[in-house]
Amino acid sequence: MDFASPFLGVFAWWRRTRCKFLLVLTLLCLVLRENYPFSHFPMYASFSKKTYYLYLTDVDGNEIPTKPFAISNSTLRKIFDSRKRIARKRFADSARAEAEAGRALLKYLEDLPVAKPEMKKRLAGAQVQRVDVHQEGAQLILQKHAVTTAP
Amino acid sequence: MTAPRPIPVFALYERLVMRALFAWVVFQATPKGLIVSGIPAPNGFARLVDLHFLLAPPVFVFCQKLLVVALVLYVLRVVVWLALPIALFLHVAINAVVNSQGGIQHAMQIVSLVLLAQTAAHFYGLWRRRQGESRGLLESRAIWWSQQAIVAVYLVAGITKLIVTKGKWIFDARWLGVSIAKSAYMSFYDTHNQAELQQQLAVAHFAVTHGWIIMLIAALGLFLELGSPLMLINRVWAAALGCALIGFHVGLTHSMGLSFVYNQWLLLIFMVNVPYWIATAGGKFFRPPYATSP
Repeated sequence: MDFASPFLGVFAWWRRTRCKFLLVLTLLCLVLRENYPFSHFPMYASFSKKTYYLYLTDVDGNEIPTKPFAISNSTLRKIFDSRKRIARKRFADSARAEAEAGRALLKYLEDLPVAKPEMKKRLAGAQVQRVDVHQEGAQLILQKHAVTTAP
Repeated sequence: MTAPRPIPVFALYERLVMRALFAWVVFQATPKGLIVSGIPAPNGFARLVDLHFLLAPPVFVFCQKLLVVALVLYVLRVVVWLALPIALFLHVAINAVVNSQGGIQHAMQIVSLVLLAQTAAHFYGLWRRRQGESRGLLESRAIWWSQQAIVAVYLVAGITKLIVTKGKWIFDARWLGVSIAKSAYMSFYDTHNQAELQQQLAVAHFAVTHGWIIMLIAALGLFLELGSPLMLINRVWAAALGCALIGFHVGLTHSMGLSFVYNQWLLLIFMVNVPYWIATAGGKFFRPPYATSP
């Protein structure tokens, strides 16, 4: 049996193919994962029966839109998740880790050089609200609770 | 041993339109201001290069002007060997800062990767020219590699879905309604558009109550992603699958608020390639599908 022939076959194919860049870039993206400009594009790569989103409320309980801070609500959650991952190393309790992540998120927003200073005033006493979304049968259930409150 | 297969050749008018439109997309996909207070979670390129210099407003304004100059030179095909690396560096650096705030966005990667592909193709082409390759192939290769970069983005997304779910992605898609509801509320807290929220919640409710239909639609989406390399067969496949992917993006925009507008533009520019079909229909500049290099 000739063990070299499969390798020679692969080599011949590699030499012949005109899609080398596709193969190299695909491998780079899968190996390097989330390293800009590379990505393994994990958005909606998995689905679950439950998920959550966040939003902000001011001291009076009115919703604070995220757009004036020049970030999307989706980014808000991504920042919260990354801060939560850091906080989980310090706190075993998930609620405490979330409260810590919420505070870090509000601090991040306070430090942003946003164009409208009045938006920053609204962050005094603001709360990060978490809404859990899950499916039961053919019903969507939403449950809200405050994660943290700004000083 | 068999010789390498030739790369497709693109006509002058196609190259010109693609160049101008791609430069416009790169400009649009580069943030016009950095509303950040630092680089708290360096990601990718920001881990390799200290990009704090971009946070100084005068430096940022200078970089923006430099990007415009580089893109104009690129469109005019003047000192491309300098214009492309400058445009790539500035576009990637500015977007790396945006992606170093603790959350990764996935809207700009495709533009950066196509720009990377064009830069790599240009320098590879210069080296090949020294080996005696025809000068005319230089830009056609850049377009060919751009097409491969676009395909890679979709292919990687499809493969990741299979890896993460251990091949069960289509089956798990029956929970898509939960994700649509989440996206609907997330979009609402961006824009406070009540009508859009109600529209997307109606889609979420449909998804929750029609799991099998959602699984079929998800299967179609996954097929398009994993079948994206078929776009490299010829112009007909590129245009057909390019239109199908744009259609899928439009559907996702309306149902989940996920527009991925730069994906749509790049598909339109490099895959659908409208000028070619207009020229072909007119018969003026007709070329057989994918004339190839000798």
